[in-house]
Amino acid sequence: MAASQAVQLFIFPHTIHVQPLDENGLLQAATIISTSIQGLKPKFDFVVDLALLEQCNMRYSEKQVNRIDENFQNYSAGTRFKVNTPFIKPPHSLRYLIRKFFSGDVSGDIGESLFSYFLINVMGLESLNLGHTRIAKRRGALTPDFIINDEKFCMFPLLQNNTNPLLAEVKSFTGAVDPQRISHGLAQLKMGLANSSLTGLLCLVVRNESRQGYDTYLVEVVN
Amino acid sequence: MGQSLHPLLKAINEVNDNLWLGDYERAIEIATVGLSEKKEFVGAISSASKAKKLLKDKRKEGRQKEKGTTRRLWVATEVANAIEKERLDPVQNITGVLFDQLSDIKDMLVFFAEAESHEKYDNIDETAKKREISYGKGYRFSIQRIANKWDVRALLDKPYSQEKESKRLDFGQNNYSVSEKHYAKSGTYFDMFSNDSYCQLTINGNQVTLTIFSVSDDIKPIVNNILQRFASGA
Repeated sequence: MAASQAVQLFIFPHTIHVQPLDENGLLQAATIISTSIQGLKPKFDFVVDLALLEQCNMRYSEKQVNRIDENFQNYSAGTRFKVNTPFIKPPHSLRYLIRKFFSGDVSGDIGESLFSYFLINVMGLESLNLGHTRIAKRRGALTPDFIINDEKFCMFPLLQNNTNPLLAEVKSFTGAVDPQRISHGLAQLKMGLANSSLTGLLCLVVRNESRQGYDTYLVEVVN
Repeated sequence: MGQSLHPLLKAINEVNDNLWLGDYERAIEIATVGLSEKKEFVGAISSASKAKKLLKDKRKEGRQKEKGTTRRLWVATEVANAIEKERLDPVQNITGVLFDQLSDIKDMLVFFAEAESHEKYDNIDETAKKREISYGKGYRFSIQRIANKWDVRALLDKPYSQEKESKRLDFGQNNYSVSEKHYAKSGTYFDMFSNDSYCQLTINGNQVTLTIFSVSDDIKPIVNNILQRFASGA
């Protein structure tokens, strides 16, 4: 595996206001995003060091059970591997904390790792200020994938409304960009941002077949 | 940002960092301190609980009413409207979620600590055994031998920053050859070679990972030598 890889960052030029959108509106907004991102010009490129990305994967990816490169091998071989579980079983209500959910598709790993890498190693967010709250969704809590305590306003150069905290949803695509999945991200942010003036980030991590790499798209969302 | 959200977020990350390192006692300590002012979070816990119930109820209603692909979107619209109507504060909601999560993590750690005291370690897989924690000035680390390599994990008291890089000692002075370094804003990665060891080093914020192949049986001096350069006192 190469030591580093360049990723292109694109910014969706319009802020999405989710408050007035019903289910059809959310789907329409998602369709507009999916079609118009293809014509965007990159804001900038950033180089991803794969060893550092691996550490982000370990720290912030919910579905990761092995190293990303090992996951690729298993994925290609079509095998499912066992998740390491503690020797002593904890009470049922707490098991969600120790279960890493298997994902045959490695894109979830890559998306969450790449997003946290971008925030920490490109935008300079301190790692302790990034919360991976996705795990609480397993218990039915209303929470985004990530909560970002942007006390130094690291995202200011990229956002029109840089609030603190920022809520973020990450969606990854190894195939075609699916508007339905984008609409699910918008829907989650609609719930998270309701009754507030906070800003949400929808991060789309998309495999670029012609470049043989990943592109990252940021969509700013407000209530 | 809500005054109480940031300390909780930091506490959860610190607990996770210490679990990664293998310092369970410190993890329990941090969780206990983070949860000590429970009365401060009563409103947040109640808000998170209301939001959770709203979501549950609307999902149930959605399963009966809406069919097909738009059900999740319908649920989101209904929940958002209800949150606006009931004036629930999203920051309070997330604070409550984080409090519950930290509380569950602490319960889990206490459960394992108690359970382990009654179990025989002989039955536990080699990789699941506790890592011994060593201390240096400005850092802590743990070492585990896996096959022919040493897996070292370290936590720096203060996160790495690229700006201080020039102040660090030249590894060449200690007979190390350093490969080309890769830099990012909060981290770095490089390989080092000496006559008797090979080391891969990754620093990301306050986390350091070292993979060392060495003929030596005692690699603590090598680890200390490397970590001292990146700790806050260097």
